[in-house]
Amino acid sequence: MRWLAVKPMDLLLWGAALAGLLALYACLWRPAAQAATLTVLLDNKPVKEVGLNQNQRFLVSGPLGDSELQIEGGKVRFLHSPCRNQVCVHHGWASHNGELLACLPNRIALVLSGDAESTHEAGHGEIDAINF
Amino acid sequence: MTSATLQDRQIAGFAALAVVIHILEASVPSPLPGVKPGLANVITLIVLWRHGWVAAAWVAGLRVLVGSLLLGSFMTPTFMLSASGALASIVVLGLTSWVLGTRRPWSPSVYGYALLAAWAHMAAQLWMAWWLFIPHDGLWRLAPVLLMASTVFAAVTGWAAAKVLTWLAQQQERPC
Amino acid sequence: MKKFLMPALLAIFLLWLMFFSDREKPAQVKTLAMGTLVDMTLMGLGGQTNHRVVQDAMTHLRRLETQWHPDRSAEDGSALLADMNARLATAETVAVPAALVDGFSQAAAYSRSSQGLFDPAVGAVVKLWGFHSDESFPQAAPSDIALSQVMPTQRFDQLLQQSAITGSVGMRLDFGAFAKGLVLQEVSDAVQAQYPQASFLLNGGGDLVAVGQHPERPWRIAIRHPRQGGKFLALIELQDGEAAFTSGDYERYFDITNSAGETQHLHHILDPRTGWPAQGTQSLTVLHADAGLADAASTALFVAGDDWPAVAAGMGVEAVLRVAADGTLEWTEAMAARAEITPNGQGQVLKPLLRSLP
Repeated sequence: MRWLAVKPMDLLLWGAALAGLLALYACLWRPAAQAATLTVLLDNKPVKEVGLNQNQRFLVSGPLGDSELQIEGGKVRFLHSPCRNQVCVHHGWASHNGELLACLPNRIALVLSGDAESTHEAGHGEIDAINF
Repeated sequence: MTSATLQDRQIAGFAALAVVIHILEASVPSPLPGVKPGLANVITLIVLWRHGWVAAAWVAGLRVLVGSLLLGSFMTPTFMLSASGALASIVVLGLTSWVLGTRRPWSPSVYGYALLAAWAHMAAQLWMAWWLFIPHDGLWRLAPVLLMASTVFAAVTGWAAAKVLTWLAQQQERPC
Repeated sequence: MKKFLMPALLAIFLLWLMFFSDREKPAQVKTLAMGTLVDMTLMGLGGQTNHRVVQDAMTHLRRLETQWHPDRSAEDGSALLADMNARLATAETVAVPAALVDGFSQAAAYSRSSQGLFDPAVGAVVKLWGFHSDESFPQAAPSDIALSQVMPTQRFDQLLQQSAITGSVGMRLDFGAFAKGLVLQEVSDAVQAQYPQASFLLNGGGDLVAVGQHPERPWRIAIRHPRQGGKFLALIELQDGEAAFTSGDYERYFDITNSAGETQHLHHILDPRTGWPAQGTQSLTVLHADAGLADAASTALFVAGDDWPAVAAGMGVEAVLRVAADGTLEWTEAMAARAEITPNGQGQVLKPLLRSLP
């Protein structure tokens, strides 16, 4: 029954597995991602992802300069923008899943995903898009 | 011929046992539905040890096929996941036993093989789940947790396989 | 050898599954185009095909966008309308390029049926105000003199004769109130023609085209409230092949204080009759199977103010929801059957005024 005893290769394998696990935890494990997240796209590429639960203001640098975004109470808006037409600022707050908010001149787009503010108004369940 | 029939019967018996474990395992909750720890690897390991890789592949294949037919999950995502897990672990077991053997000084014991099978099983299922169903990268955040669970189950399957193999070896020492 | 049969078959089968099966999963693409964020979600063709089709659709959309852009220059000659505008402005007579003929004749028909409330001929007026650009915006209203110089003398359907247009100094055609609908419809038609079993939602900065079926339920959309950002006005379930277009005064605008000390809300929907932003409406939504018509009609009906039912009847649209300048809700019979008004801040569901079409 010697071939059933623990052997050097086992120790090697198990050691490697445990080390691998530790490395994986270090690399991949982050606290459960917020259900509702905001992804900031610059020139169609994601540059930042933040939870909608943390009230904060931050700057995103586009070709025209810095756009200031504000997150508060699960909503997000363009607070200031270097663009001249200010369409993004006029749009105001966005909080619904699938809502689109963008500043074309500064090449910044915001995408809300996950469980962004429940769209269960009047008990209707999910909304696929918002018409405006 | 008689011994071949006996071996066939034994393999069939092991396959039946593996199916039972497979079905029991289907009721184990998992953070990713369909992704399972692979407890049925106990049987794969025992058959690998006693009858070699080809028989082990038969048992694994029959288990996935019959198990999913009985559960009604044949060709569903759950089936794809368990099939990919079984395929990956049998391939890894085959390659390792071919290179390192099972009874040489530098061979892993069942404990080592249990670990290899469990990790291959989980990694393949995760990849399959990501590739086919949930291409969201958030899925990989579950990898450490799921692989840790796999490691724990590997210890359990390794231990159980060693126990059963020991018992079977003692049975065989009795003259027929 | 028989012993190897089962493992070999199993392995081949699984490899086949892994590499050749194309499990269904919706594909989504978001891209900045047509002066807005375009979003397309497509399903029903298998994961990889879904992905490829949305990518191709966006390429198609960008090509059409360039064709219909009034000012963009492209060295390869793909900016058909911009090139045409450059020649029209020097009073040349220009034949409509083949790729634009269909759109031009549709636009002429809508220009006629809306009695000029939708009119691509006012391009120079749009430019004078400065609403044509994504990059810059007006800070003041133009002077009456400047405006009178660029007001067109002929409606678009009168300008278009035998697929050609006779230019005049400073002429500029702008299909801003129609091109988005036309482009979304063309992209949608192209995808449908090639992949009849595809389901998708095409969202061009809030203007929507829905095709096929959502896997679990009908396509469900919300109409944004024109004055309460982030709130909904109504919920609508879109049918297969239906488009929802809204014209509103709440995005592209600027507020000025005039000489009398009053604040004026000057937005991008210009009344072709006066050259000034149309008054009387906050937002107006149209549902129709043709996105180009829905787009043109939402603009024309917005401009029409309180007289919108007559224009709706003239243009052949039935489902309309309007928020008047004083906040009053109005809708048609066809819209009442489709839309559900969401409760306001006080939890009340306001019943819109029913306007029947003549």
